[in-house]
Amino acid sequence: MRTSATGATGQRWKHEANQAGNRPSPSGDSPAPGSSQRIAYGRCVSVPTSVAQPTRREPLHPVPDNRPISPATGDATAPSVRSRLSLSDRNWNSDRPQQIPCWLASLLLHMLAVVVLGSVTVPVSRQRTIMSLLLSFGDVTAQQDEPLVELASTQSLTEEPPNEQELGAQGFEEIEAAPLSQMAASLVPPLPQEHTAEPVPDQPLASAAGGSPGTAPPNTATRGQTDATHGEANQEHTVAVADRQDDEVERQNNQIVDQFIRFDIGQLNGQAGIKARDDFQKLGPRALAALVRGLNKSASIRASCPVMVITYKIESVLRENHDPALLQYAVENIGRDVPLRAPHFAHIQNLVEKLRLRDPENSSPNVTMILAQLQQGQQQQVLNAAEVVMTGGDKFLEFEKRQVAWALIRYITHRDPKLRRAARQALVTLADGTDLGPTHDQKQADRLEAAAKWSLHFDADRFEAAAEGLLKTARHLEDAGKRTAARRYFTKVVDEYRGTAAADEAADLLEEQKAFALK
Amino acid sequence: MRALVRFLGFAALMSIAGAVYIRGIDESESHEAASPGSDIPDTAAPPALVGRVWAGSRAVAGARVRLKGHAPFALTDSDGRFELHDRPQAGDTVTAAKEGYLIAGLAASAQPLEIHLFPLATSDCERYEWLDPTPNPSSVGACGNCHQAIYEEWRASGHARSAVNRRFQNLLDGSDWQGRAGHGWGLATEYPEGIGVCWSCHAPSLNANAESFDLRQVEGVAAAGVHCDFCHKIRDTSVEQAGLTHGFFAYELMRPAEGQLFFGPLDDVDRGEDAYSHLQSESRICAACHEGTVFGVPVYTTWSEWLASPAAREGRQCQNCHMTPSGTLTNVAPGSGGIERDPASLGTHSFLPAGREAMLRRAVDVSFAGRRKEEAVDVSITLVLHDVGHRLPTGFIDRHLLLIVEPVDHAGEPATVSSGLRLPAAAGNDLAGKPGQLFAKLLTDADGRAPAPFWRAGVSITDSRLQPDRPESFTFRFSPATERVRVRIVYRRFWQEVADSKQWPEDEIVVCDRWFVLP
Repeated sequence: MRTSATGATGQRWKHEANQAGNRPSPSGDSPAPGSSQRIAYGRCVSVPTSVAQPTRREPLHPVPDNRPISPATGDATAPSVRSRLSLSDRNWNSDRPQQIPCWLASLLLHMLAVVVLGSVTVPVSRQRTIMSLLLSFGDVTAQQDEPLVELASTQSLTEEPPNEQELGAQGFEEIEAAPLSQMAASLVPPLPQEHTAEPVPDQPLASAAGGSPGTAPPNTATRGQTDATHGEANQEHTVAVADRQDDEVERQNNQIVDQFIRFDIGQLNGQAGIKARDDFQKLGPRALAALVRGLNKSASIRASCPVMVITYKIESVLRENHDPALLQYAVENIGRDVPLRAPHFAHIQNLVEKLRLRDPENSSPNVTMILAQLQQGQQQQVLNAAEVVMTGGDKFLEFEKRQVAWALIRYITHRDPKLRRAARQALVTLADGTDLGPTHDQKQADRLEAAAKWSLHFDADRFEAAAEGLLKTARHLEDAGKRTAARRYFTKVVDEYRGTAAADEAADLLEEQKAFALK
Repeated sequence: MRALVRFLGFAALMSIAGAVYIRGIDESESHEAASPGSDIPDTAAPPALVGRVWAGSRAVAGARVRLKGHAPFALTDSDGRFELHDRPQAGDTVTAAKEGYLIAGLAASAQPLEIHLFPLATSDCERYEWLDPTPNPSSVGACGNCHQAIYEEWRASGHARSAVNRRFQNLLDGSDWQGRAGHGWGLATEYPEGIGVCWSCHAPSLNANAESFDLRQVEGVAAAGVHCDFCHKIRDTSVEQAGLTHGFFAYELMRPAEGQLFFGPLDDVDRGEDAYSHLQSESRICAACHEGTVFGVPVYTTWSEWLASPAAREGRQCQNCHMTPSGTLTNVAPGSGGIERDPASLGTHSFLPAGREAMLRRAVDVSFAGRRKEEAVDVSITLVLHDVGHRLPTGFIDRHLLLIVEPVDHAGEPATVSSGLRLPAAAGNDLAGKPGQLFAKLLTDADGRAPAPFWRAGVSITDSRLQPDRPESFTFRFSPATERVRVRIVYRRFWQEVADSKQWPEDEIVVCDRWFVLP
């Protein structure tokens, strides 16, 4: 870069900085005598304005013709005076105010890079704050709040077996997203649902939870089929939260729980004790915060009886009530202030873990977390996951059932009988009561046989679903006038999904197409 | 630079912590080793064996050293030195044990005789899979495979049936002996919130992370109740909160992440997976389950009864009576590595060594004094507990003793009772109103009914049980026609009305049945 400017003082500033010139002269020659006063390398030199300046600086020494031309200047010259400059002369930045400072340029470039990267991430995560945007980067699935419909269409079944993968390259731009996403919804693993319930601050619940009680959960494709449930959940949520506006009720609940703890550990006898127990039994979801506090208090005083009784109560309340705010409150507050070395800490930790498995939106189990636990393979986690499946697996969508079933089947042959039993019971739940064993699981052969049966059972379902999805795609291609592409899909269904209802239907449609073509 | 500073800081902290830890160990060991010589047999003869015990590079003070299987032992001094006066034979092993370390052994012929102890792990592995006590050739770890005699003793004990005992299960679910629901008391039906309280004592290996705390569904190793592996995994326990912190929660377990680890009172089992623990010989280990306030009621109070008894003052532990050596067991694992031992050193695991009936009969002394007057016959009956470390009856709250006094005339017909205590309705329809006394913790519910189950009790508790070394006399006045008096003491585990409603087989124990002829 080469610039020149005339200063206000009439001095003429000249700066020569050549990228090529940053290198020592290949020849190591010194500049010509007399010229070094006016020519500086990487620094500013003041020269009298009266001194005539050449419009183009002459080479200071012979330069070979084949010297590469500086891309910045187009100048093939490269001063080789660096070795002559003393350290005091190397006032590198003294002339930068006259140009764009390099640190500023660097900053701008970095900001530009950030903006570019950000623009890449924004469509994936539509969080409003920069923090959430940054957090979402690299953990896209965990923060995903896009409806599965859109994702399925954009991701185009890339996570599916090879015979479906080629669907993604079949010109989906010509096809409406909806039918594909319907198909995808039955095949693509569900993405975790982002919980958008209003946060419920610590204490008191009454004042904290009333912020925006009616916040609607996101309408996701995985839950799209249960919109009615969403409606109910929201209604309950609203009611429950609105009910917490009264601090007096909260205070009374706390008192009831405290009295119950006193009764339960033998400090409150007689009629007062009976009243405390009766009052406690009447508590409902409205008293969840008080129950959680009571649980923490009981654990802190190492009292097993109230810990277990209140645990039961909390689980009952959350099982019977679909208010996501309650569940979130429980998950976030159970165990608070309980010492790590408290005898019941592990129990409390496990309770929280079990509650976390529940989908906060409708208290149905969170499939993603269940799958994660099953994949980790640790005994307690598998048992927890299996238990959740047993209690709520019937709420799964069909593809969710298959996913969980696939993860469970491997435990049918596990060496731990506890895991085998849990897996079997969970699979029975997923199979709507069908029990494929093993009845006598003492023999490995029986276990293997049962595992094969379970695999067949759930694979068959998957097979059907895939065939139906392809058939739907073919129909839409046909409706869109893409007869050739549609025929390709019909043929695929007939050839690769024999025995399914979709294959039979595809065969009929193929015949119709042929007949139409002949006409 | 910052990382360097952090590293240096961390290293400094670790150095300080290490120094404090080592100093603490040294102090504790020097304390324990304050009088090692006192346990070393005082003999003028030179010791047969001299050696040292090490843990790493540090000498271990206070370690118990003996020739394996021999009674005499020595404690190491502050330098870890020991002297044994037993003359070793070829093949003998010298073992060393100290709490907190694995028991180690070395051939007695080794020179130098330096035994190295390895410390136990410091953390409990919650994922540990409990060993099933049931003999099973295909299971390497099954306790009964090697310890047949001990297993049989245990299997006949209440500990083996604590989770699946039929009466216990009937009380849990409100069923009768035939399993029909809705017969008599039932915790699950009357107070479902409390269903999770029982497991920590009745099935402690269900552990705090169990998928269900409902013992109606207990299975697997947990169904084995208080089994071998559980008791021998207890490293320590706290009795500060005895009664409040129940069973599992009160124990400091040490379950290994891999391999095995057993705690027990034998200090010469040098397999490399055993640790000496005096706790298994102390009443403390029983406290967590034999002291329990449940739903506000002191359902189990044996520990506190023992604390208040002369036995505790004399230093006699539960094990002194309830694990008295049978005298027949000489090898804990015959044919599986066990060695022949003094039978007096091996306690029984039946926990009622001579049987419940024999122990009860031995415990109660009955004395009779009768005085004939013109207008009446005065009878005085005195009961005193002999050599018992708790009240009688003890254990579960419904257990009771009945003193039944039956005067008869010369024709064998019942004589008229003029005065004296009468048995209450709780004694059952057959006995209510007869002369006698009830020894029990009698609970009354809110409606004034007695007996009441502990989950329904609360208004009043009367405790009339016999106390150790505190004689109780009861006087009765009968008609002058009285010739003889029959004195019976009957022990029942449950109230008659409960047994009737549950259709339980008769299982009362006649502790005493004697006729006294009046002068």
